[in-house]
Amino acid sequence: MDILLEFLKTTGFASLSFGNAAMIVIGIVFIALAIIKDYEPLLLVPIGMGVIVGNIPVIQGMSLTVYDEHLWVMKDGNIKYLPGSVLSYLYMGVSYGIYPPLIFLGIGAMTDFSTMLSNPKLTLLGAAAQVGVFLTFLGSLYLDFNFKEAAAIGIIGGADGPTAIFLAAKLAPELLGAIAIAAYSYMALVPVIQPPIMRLLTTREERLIRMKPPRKVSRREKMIFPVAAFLICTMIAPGAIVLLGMLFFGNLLKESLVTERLANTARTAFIDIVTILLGFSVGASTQADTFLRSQSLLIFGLGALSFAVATAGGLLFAKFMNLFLTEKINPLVGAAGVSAVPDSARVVQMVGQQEDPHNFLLMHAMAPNVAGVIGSAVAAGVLWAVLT
Amino acid sequence: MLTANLLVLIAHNGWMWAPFALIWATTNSGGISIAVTGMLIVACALLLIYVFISSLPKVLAAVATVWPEVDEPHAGLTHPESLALDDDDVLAAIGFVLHHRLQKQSGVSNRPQR
Repeated sequence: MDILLEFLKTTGFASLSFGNAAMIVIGIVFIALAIIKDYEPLLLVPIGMGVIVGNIPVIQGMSLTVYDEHLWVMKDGNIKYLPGSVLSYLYMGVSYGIYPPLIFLGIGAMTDFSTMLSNPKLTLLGAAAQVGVFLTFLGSLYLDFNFKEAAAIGIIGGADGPTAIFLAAKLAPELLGAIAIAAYSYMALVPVIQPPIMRLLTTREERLIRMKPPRKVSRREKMIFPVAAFLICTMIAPGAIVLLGMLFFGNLLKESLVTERLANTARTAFIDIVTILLGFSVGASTQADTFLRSQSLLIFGLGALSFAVATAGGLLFAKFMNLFLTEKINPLVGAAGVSAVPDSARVVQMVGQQEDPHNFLLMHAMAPNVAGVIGSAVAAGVLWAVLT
Repeated sequence: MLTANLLVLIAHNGWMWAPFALIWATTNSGGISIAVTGMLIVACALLLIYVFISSLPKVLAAVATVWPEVDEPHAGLTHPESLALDDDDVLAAIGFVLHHRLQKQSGVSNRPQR
């Protein structure tokens, strides 16, 4: 009987806190949103399952959570290695910032920069949308976050999960769980957050603007672009070497035509494996005692603000550009300057077609969308370099 | 402390003070200079990319007078070793041949019965 009672004390039911239960419910909601609403299932299912796994109470002394890292201890004059938990080894890819560049490699191998090359002025919209990052940085400072934390929170406005995780791992690892969840949640909610802002800041006439179809881009342009763009960006912001190096390396694999096998692996199995590991270990890091704090709520609030400001920044800059352009651009494409690829471009297409079903904006919106990826990686590189 | 003072200021004078309070709080700590510099660097990087990709077609047109681009680059440049093996197609072909031979051996015809 005593053994049974002792065993019962070690079960999850005995030590489950309210916080753990709440987090498990959040994990289930993520999985349900992914399955029922089809919101970013490739991310929300691994994260949701990770949240559930990370919030099962563990027995004291057993090394099971992501935070039970390996140790070197001195015992009887000898140095002894104590292995960490399995999850802690998986989590090293997050805490050391290894997974995000690997994901960028896959993104590069699946990104087509043709639309940006065919209409270069749309590149500037990717820069305008980064205003969300820096205004939220200021807002976070105002709310008494320190510089490093404020930078990590601000980058949520870049709408790029891997970039947000990379910068948070480098500057504010204690906020990594909340920042990653906020970044991916808002990316999943792009179709909900962006349309009202887009309609509020544009007139019907502006939404009806049709743009010229993009020109055909030569193979040489596509091959030269990744190397040249990498050199330009990293000479200006060397902090972005890791992220942009992998992004443009992946793109070069695709465009060079001589490494089709590598490009194919990078954009399929490779990125899928890294996404599974990243999503699951980020989810598992959101244990109730580290995640359920008032600070996390502030991060979610600031993340939403960052996203909204970034969307507005892109839209307003597109309207500003129209003051000088003879061939007007549809300001809706400015909203795709946040780098949630390709969701924000799809939202632009959807909102544009609600006004005119024969207006195809997707191709045009992909240009600021991929420029936004570059812009947010440069922003992360700048903040990392300045604050380290 | 600074933020607490600013909250008192806002409470006494209304929310119209909030933007000034934000600027005050961030200027004192150097936040604005980081934000402005960061924004300028991002803009500068993408502006240079814009300039580069705008001028690239002209440069390539000049290069093409000496070194013309082939019309069908896919056919000429794709490296044979770079092609991914399509295992499904190979397996389907093997399966078809096996099935065909087995049918021949067992004397079953492929023709539709009337």
